[in-house]
Amino acid sequence: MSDILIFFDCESYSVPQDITILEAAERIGKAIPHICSHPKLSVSGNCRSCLVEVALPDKDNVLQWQPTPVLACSTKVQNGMHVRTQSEMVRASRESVMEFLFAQRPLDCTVCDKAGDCSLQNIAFDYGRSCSRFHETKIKKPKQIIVGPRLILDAERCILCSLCVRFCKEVLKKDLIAFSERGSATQLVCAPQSDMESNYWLNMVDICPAGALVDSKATLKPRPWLLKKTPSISTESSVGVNIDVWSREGTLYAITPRRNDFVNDTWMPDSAREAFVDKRERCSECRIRGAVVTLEEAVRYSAQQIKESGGFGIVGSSFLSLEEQFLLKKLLDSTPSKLFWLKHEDRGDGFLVSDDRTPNLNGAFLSGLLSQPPDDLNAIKAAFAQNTFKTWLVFYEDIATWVDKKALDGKTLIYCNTHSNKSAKEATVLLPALTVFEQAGCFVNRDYRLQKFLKAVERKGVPSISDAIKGLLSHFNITVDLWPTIQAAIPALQNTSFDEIPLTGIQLKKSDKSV
Amino acid sequence: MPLEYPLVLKHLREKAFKPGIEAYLSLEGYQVYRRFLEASAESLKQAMRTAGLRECGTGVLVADIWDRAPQKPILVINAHVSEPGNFKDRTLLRDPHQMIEGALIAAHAVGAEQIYFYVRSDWTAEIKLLEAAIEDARAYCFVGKLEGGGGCEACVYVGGGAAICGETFGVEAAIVGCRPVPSMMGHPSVVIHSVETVCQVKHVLSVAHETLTRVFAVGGGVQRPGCYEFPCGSLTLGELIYDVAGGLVPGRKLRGVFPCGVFSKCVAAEALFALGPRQVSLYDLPMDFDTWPQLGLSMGRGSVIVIDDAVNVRSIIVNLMRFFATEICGFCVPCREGSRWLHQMLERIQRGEGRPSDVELMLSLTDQMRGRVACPFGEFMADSVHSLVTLFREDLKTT
Ligand code: SF4
Ligand code: SF4
Ligand code: FES
Repeated sequence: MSDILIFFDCESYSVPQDITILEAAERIGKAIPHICSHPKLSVSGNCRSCLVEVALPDKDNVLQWQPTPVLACSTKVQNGMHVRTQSEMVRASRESVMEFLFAQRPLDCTVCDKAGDCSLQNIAFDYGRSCSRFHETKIKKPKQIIVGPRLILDAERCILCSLCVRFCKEVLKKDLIAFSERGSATQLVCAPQSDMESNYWLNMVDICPAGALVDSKATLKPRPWLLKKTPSISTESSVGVNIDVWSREGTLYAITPRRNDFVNDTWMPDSAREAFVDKRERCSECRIRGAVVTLEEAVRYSAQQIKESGGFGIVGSSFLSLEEQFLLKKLLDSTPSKLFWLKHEDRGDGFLVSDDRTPNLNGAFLSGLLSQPPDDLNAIKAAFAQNTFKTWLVFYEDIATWVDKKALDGKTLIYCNTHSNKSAKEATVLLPALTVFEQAGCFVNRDYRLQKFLKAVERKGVPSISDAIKGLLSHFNITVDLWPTIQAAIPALQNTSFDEIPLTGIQLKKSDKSV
Repeated sequence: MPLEYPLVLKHLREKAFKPGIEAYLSLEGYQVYRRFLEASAESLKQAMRTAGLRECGTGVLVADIWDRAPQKPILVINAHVSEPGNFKDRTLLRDPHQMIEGALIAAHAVGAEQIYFYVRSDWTAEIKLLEAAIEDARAYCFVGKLEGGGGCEACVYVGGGAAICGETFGVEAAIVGCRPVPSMMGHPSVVIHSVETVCQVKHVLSVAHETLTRVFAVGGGVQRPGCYEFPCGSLTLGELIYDVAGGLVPGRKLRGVFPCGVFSKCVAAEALFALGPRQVSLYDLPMDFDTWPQLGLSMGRGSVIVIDDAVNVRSIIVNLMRFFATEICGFCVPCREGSRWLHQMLERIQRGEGRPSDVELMLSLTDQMRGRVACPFGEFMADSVHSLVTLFREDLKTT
């Protein structure tokens, strides 16, 4: 469809047809306040905060301004349309809507968890009155209503925008919450006795524009303006949900969804929100038989063991980033080694959690490590039992829990993981690793979308898996220029550096396989 | 004095009238329906257009409504209009067969195979009467699917009882089983008529007369409140109040009139209107469809409420505001919050705790609502309250 011409505050812009004034304004970077509209939910039009003045030319090309303002969130753009977003009438409308919204509201931003990240607060800053004309007694409504398994509703803060109701209806396809009563007594209620099971409740906390719904487990976080936001990718499953990681001074505080229309729209499962909470002990130093060594020493010793034993087994992982997998491929190709791989599957929910619970299985296909779906559990057990290899290089998989203790004896286990576990304790050489939040890289999701994650927090002194593999390679006299290698393997990345990969990712094809 | 011309009210005017089907048939009931059953939808539309019949309330030509009707709609007869002071629908429901006959004709014209008589839940007697009437009509094969195709089903659909459920979007929502709030998600396939309109449909076709009538419900401070039917535009507001409804109780003075019902402005007794070059007093305004919109008033649903000086105007305003605050749907912010705020203010004033700035604030709040609410109901409220506060600002001052 061809674009049309539209005028915002007398400046002309060309925008696609069939979008609303609000969408057009967002595209061209004009701010129109809006509360009850959401790009991924149906239009409601109840908050009336997005009113703008609109005119269309009549047949003599004279602009006919409409006598009353119209809703930007539900009015479609038309060719030649003029929109005023800052006129006196528009300002007055916004001001009055704000006055009505705040008349009965408890002014408790200071103790509200949403403050700082609240659309209502932001709009009130811009258009609210600085003093109140309301002299009545504010109506009391219930506070701290438990909604579902983990939300708390403050009915006094709720502005009845219906976003959460629409989310349940349209995204979850379940009527978990709804409005009851009518008129000024309207209230949000939880559907009684309905099936409250859902892994997506916390999305309602994200979209609630007024801080009325809060997460009972995540109150009293540091204020959003104190936190740094880093784009990242959830490792929960191969969907590759786009997330923002909120951190401060090296500590992670929250994970929220990041919009990517190709992957997760604006949603994310609750189960992925606490990915940074891991109570297990971290592996942060290289160790040989328990003694702390430097990376060089650990790598030198490992390389020596590998060379001595002739061949070695590698247990790779779909949790490795694309970069790490390419390095691993190089190692595999230049040493006498055999690769094993495990799948991690569980029932998905058909939405944002897939059956494959790893973030980067397709990366292994693209890097040429795998050509078939992996399923090597028994093969690994057998290889250990039959002493096929004396030396093993294992990433992440906690093999010590399921390989026979006897079979493990006498083997050199070079083990690499972020957190300590049984295998880490039994490893001959322990190499630490960085979590997805501590480094940058790429994952390729189930639909072959290459997405990058950035470093949210710095973890000093801990080498990454890339460093370790590069170290090993250097003992075989191989140096790798990583990004050019990847570019050569994946034609779609030819002219793109890592920094140039858009945050929403690049769509690859299954056939982009490296040979 | 203008002469009443009861067509729609004809049966109800007769003391001996019984709402049963035998009585109705003996008064040539269902004759029109029989006659027009074979007529084409086009000819029915033409008849409506020639007569100029309009939908009561919106004033849209019935012929236009039928023209725009969706394919195979459900015909909804809206007997849920809950405008205070408008009692004519309830009166008309006491002659149920007249409405059923009109509805059947309208259904035939728009190709509807189902009629819902959408009635307020608190009109229990009328619901019973109507249900019985539908059964009787079914026994005579007026209602119900016919063997070999054709025919129209009809049933009573009891509404929620709030005023908003009787507004257009409320009716649409009710029919699909939703909360009565405006929806941006399209409209169900319905054609909505008011009770009076479908009764008129029958009469337009029955007598090939030029006289189109309107029923007015006059209430408030008059001596003979009630429903009166007159040829459209044949009388003035003054005649309606003073001659037809008996005027005010002797010794009382007129303070204001809601000439178009409480969903529109209240007008001062001494107000003058500019009609073309003429200055016309309130009393001389003709009760037709075209004059009122020129004056910024809607013709409304034909209810007239008279306020004399014996009543406590402040109570009227508080009462009306309570009605608005509780009967709105609560969907959009300006109307929901504004009405509650105004209601709280007026109750405070009623308690004698008024503040000097109250009147100005109320006017400002109603101004803030206008043009920013999501449906006409909110506009009506703003208009109505604004006019009352302007008109009776002295009564609202407590100190
Ligand atoms: S709880 Fe929040 S999202 Fe839900 S209706 Fe209230 S303000 Fe809107
Ligand atoms: S104006 Fe009032 S009645 Fe109409 S949608 Fe808004 S709240 Fe509901
Ligand atoms: S954003 Fe348009 S009405 Fe709420």
